[in-house]
Amino acid sequence: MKNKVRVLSLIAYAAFIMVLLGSLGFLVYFKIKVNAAINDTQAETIPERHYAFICEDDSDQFYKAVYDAAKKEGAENGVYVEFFGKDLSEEYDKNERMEIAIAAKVDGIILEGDESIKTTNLINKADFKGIPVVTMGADNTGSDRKSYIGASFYNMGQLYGNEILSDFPLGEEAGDTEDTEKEIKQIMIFVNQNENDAYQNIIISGIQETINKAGRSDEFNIVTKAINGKLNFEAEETISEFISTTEKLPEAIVCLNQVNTTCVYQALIDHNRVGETFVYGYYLDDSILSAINRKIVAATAAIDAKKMGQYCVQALDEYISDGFVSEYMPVDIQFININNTGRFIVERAKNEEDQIRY
Amino acid sequence: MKKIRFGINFTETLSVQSRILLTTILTSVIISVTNLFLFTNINSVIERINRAYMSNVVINNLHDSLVKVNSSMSEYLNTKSSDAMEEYFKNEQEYTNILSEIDTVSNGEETAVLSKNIRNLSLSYMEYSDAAVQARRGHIIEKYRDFYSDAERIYGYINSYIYCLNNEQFAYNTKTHGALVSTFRTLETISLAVLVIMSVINVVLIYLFTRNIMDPVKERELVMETHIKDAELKYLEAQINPHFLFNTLNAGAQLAMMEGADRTSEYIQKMAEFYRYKIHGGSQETTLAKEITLIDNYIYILNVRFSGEIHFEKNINEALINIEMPDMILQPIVENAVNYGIRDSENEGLIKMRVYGSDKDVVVSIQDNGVGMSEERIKQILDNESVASERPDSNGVGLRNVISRLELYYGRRDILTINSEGEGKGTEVCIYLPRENVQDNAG
Repeated sequence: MKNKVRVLSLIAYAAFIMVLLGSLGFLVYFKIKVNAAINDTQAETIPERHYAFICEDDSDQFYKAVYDAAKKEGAENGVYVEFFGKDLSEEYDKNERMEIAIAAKVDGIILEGDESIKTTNLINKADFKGIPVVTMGADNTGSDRKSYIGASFYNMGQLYGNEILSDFPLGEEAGDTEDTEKEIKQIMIFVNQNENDAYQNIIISGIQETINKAGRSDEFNIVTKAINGKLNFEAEETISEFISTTEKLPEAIVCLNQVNTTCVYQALIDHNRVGETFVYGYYLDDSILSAINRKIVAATAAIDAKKMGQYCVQALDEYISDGFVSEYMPVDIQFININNTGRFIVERAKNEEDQIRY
Repeated sequence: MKKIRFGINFTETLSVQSRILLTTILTSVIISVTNLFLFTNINSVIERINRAYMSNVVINNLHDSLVKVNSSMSEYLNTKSSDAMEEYFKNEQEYTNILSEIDTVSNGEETAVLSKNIRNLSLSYMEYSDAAVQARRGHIIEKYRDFYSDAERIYGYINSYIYCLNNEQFAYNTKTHGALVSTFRTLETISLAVLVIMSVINVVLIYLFTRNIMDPVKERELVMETHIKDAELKYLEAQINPHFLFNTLNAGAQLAMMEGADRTSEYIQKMAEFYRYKIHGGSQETTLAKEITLIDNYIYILNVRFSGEIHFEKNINEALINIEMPDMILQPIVENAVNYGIRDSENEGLIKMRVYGSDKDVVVSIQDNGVGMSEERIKQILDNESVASERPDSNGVGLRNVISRLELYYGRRDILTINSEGEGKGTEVCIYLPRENVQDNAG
């Protein structure tokens, strides 16, 4: 009887102590859980510097990749890079975003440039208010921008030209006789109607001069087609209509942005016209890579978006700390065609974690 | 284990009152602490739930205040009234105050940047609105229109940002609210479990602390002790001082021996033995053999007193007399037989004692040939009803006392029987001492 009572007492005391300890443990667990649920006990602090990243088209994958790289570079150097105005309920154009960024007193602006006067004025206004601006992708040469980060468009044009020349070999190489009359091949370049900038012209000049230098100017006729990319879905509609209604497609189509490239190859598939033209694209993503492998796209020009993003942040940092920075920071261009896609597939897989895009 | 034993022993040493007090205080403290703990936690969660949407309130206040600033600026530019200007500056001050709270509502880097943009846009807005107001005061019409236009544009941007921040915060707060409600449900379940466990522990603690109060074994021992004490007290009162008497008697016996009065010496010797039995050391247990010896001495003394009137016959199974039993059982029965049976009888007094065994018990029978007892009287004694005819001058220990002690000692009721065939036909008292119990006790 006594032993039973003692065992019962032992259990009761042990249970009492366990419940006390359990309650204490629960209290700690509970506090942690509540604090985890409510993460607003302390106001979040943002990095020391705040740069605005502004581009023409938010949906452009190339500039998204540039932004990702810039944000990562900024995070490592105490800078918060904001894709400016992207999440706002109202849609603002590039110039309005520039205005907002100036009024919001950011520490620096990374801007996809163009040669318009309005952009020049806004860059100058920002500079006047002490906000340095760097341009990327396309420049605004007449402004007080501190640096331009981008590819050499003349080089890009040359690379397009070389790629076209190699895809359309000379008559001898093709096995034709000298007597055969040379057929004039049409190269159609889709240009962005809204972009009041010189870079498209520089690219076209690069292509033209490369063909001329090769002594084959009589074989090719370069024409341009304006695409209005500003209106929603306009680019897709224009391209699709062109592909479906043109009886004889040009021998080569050159696209100077990612959206146009994707629209062209998709329209070729939709209207069953794959193989009727050589498509030269811009930018490299999974779908364009796949299109190259399926021989829908002949080649694509890829600017190193990661480098571009990094250089933008570095240029602003350098200007803020030193008061000056190099006016031009070139970014590499690579051409990807069916012969070298394997290398890019491996590289993309390897760098997937770093979000590297070309 | 030692400590726990100490704890139990400690509570056992406390008085009943202290034990009840200690138990009440301990259980009250446990329940109070438990409730306090649960109450604090529940309160804290409710408070958090109430505050979940506080950031949205701050943002909405900011928006309302901005609208007021803008409308009072427009009002002033339209009317140029001093009231409107006063209103504008008041609203601007209020807006600045609310703006300082905006940093506290962020919950991540993105919302912190949104807040920062709102703050800086607001500063730009106020620069333009102030400039517009100043230009209007100075009649610089072109300027104030430009500034107003700039201010309006930035006002639109700020509204966009406020809307965005409000949405972000609402989504976040809804998530937080959900998490808090889920935490609250967990807390409820755990609280219930803690309450139940604490209640069970309380019941166990109350049982442990109070079990001795209600323990029937202890209770029986206490009652028995009281009976013995009562018997001893009566005995001692009667005998004044048994030690003194015993020593005196021993001295008397020696004196009688020296003087050659052998019978006197023997008589005194027997008396001394009789008293020695009662001061053997306070033990409540003895053997049947010792009880029988006591009876021998008692009868001898009585026979000396009453000139051999009482005949005593023994028929004893010697194999059974070593069993243990409570002491002072047989002597009161014999005393009763003498005082109430034989003394009033016309017959020559005879007391027969038999010890024999039955299947389970050792039976001790004490039979007299006295006046006998009626059925009614026997029932009264056995049922513990007041026995009116018990003589007040009796210094013997009551039969009822003997029965109670036997019942308490053996834990059963049929331990003693009284048989009488009627008036004048004598009485037989039989005691059934359980063999098993005796063996256990011996063991």
